[in-house]
Amino acid sequence: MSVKSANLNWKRTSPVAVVFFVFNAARQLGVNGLPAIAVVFTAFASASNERKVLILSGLLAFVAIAILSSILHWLRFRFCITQDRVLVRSGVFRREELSVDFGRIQNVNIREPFYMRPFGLALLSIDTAGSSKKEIILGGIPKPLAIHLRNAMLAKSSDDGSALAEKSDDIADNPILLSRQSKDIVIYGLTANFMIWVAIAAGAFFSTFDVGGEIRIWIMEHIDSIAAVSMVQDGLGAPAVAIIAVATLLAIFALLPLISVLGALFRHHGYQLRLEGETFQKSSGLLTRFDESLKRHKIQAMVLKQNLIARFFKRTNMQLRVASAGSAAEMGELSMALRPAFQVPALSESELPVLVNVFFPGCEPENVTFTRVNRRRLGMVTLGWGVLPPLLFTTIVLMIAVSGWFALLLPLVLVFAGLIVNQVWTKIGYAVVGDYGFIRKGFLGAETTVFPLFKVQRVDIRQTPGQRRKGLAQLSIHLASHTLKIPYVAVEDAKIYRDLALYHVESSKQAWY
Amino acid sequence: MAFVNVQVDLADLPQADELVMEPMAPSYEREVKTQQFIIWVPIVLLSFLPVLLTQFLWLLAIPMSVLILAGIISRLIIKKALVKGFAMREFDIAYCSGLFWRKTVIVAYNRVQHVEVSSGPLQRKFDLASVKLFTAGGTSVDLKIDGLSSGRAEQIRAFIADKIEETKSE
Repeated sequence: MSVKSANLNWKRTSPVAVVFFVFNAARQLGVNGLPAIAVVFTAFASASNERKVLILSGLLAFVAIAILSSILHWLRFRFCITQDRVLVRSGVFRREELSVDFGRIQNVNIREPFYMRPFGLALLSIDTAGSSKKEIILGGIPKPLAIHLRNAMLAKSSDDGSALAEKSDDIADNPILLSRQSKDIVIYGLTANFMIWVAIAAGAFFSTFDVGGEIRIWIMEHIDSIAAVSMVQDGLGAPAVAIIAVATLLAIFALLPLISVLGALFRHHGYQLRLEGETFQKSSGLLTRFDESLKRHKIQAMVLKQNLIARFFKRTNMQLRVASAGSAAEMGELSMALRPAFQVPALSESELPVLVNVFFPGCEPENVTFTRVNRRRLGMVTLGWGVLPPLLFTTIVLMIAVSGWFALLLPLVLVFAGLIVNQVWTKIGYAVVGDYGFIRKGFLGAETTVFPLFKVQRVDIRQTPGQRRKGLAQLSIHLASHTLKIPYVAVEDAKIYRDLALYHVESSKQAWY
Repeated sequence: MAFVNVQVDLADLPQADELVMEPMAPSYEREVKTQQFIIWVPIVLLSFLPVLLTQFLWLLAIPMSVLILAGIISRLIIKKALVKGFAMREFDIAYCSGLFWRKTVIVAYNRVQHVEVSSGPLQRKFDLASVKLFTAGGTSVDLKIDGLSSGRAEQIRAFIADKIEETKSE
């Protein structure tokens, strides 16, 4: 490094950052030491009183060590900002010095954890580019400094926006593109994850059969001391206990959406989206405030999700994907893959086209007519290879072992599977409008990926012998964020889609990253 | 940001379909044959073991079936090597492979992150090399062409590296 260390102004973060290090240590322990915690917990439960004191003092010592090490980490953590780079020194025993050029910074996010907000402090996390994907976190610096640094870094890392940063240090100056009320966030919480509804449906389905009875037995065995149960049983009889058991189970499942809604509120409360130059900035959060930014040219694809529940509310959840997520995951960098996508929650029918245009100028999602794939082939291959063999096997086993009546099961299940495949078929579609490609899939809901054609990384066309005979193919479009596959496309269409994407890739002078 | 929306006539698009695929180096067939030979000889020899140990003549059926299997599999693998082909255009490279499951991959030079030439011991014996292309999308290796003469592989690598430099400087 050519920079002279003597001239550098090394700074320390605020003492509140110790809390951040403690939280970090606790999270690491939670992830790595869960089995150990379980062992200690069970040991504690069955230990004698003297042992309990021993275990407790051991735990206390452990906590003390964790806090002490956090303080040491904080003491040894220094950072320094120069004109065009950020330097960090960290580590208690093994010293590490990191130096990152502003130009190589991928993204900068600001977080205000609840324990830092009273002090006006923030946490600045810096994603860097390159093979050594490493995140630098400056925990506990004053918020104005964090915002200033973010703007300076983002300005340097783009070629076009160098003048933007100095213009305004306060993002609040920019007009709001989108803000979300609590109602929107609640709807987002209800629609973000369809699996919670599947779990409830499954719970309701199974509890009407056998589980209710089993739970009743379980309650009788375990919570026998609860007088209420026996009182209810005495007064109303066993069926009432079963009903109560089912209700309890349903209540547990009903908690899932509640948890989801609470999570959404904590994360997205007071959601505001702004545009500064070419950088989208989003701030949200109930206790911990999250300030995330996303450069327009970093967006690789937009995913529009509308599941059954969202369809009921006439809302669509938008996700913007960047390069690091998909490609980093395959290189074994899970931490990057787990990074949540840039969310734009619960867009109404009128907001959706406006927001799509904000992120992808000139994109007209309302004018898209999707072309469908070959229905016969999709149905026959899925049913013939995927459904029929296991179904046939199960039926024969059941017929031999239980009763010949199970033969009736075969056509019934086959018709049902056929209906499902047909429903899936209605959702698979592809289209190109202007400079953008559209690919849709789904079952009851739909998930549409929109991508600028010039951002395509690679195109594959595959043909099985059967597909070759029928003039069909599977088209795979690899984006830097994720891969899209369309099965059973007419081979001419696949080739046109490929040639069109390649035309955009090869004639575009814009960088994809 | 000015997005230009050029009207494209689909019939005028350059079609990757009209490419003439260049087959692999002539020595590639010999390399694959040698490779198959190296793999199957010990297996065939081992399959004689039951007969030699027990002296039951009917156990000769094992080496017989192994031989037939080896014949079929190695024939298919050799055939698969022969149908591979690649083509280079001004802006992209196409590679097609697969005997039953045909696959065509096309990568544009301006999406290539880096190019790699590698050659194993057997490949070196036949003066062959592989070219690997990496982009930011999909799995780690996006395109791997085996069975190029080492001179041709180096030529391709240099050509694509040049193209990458070109797009960077623009």
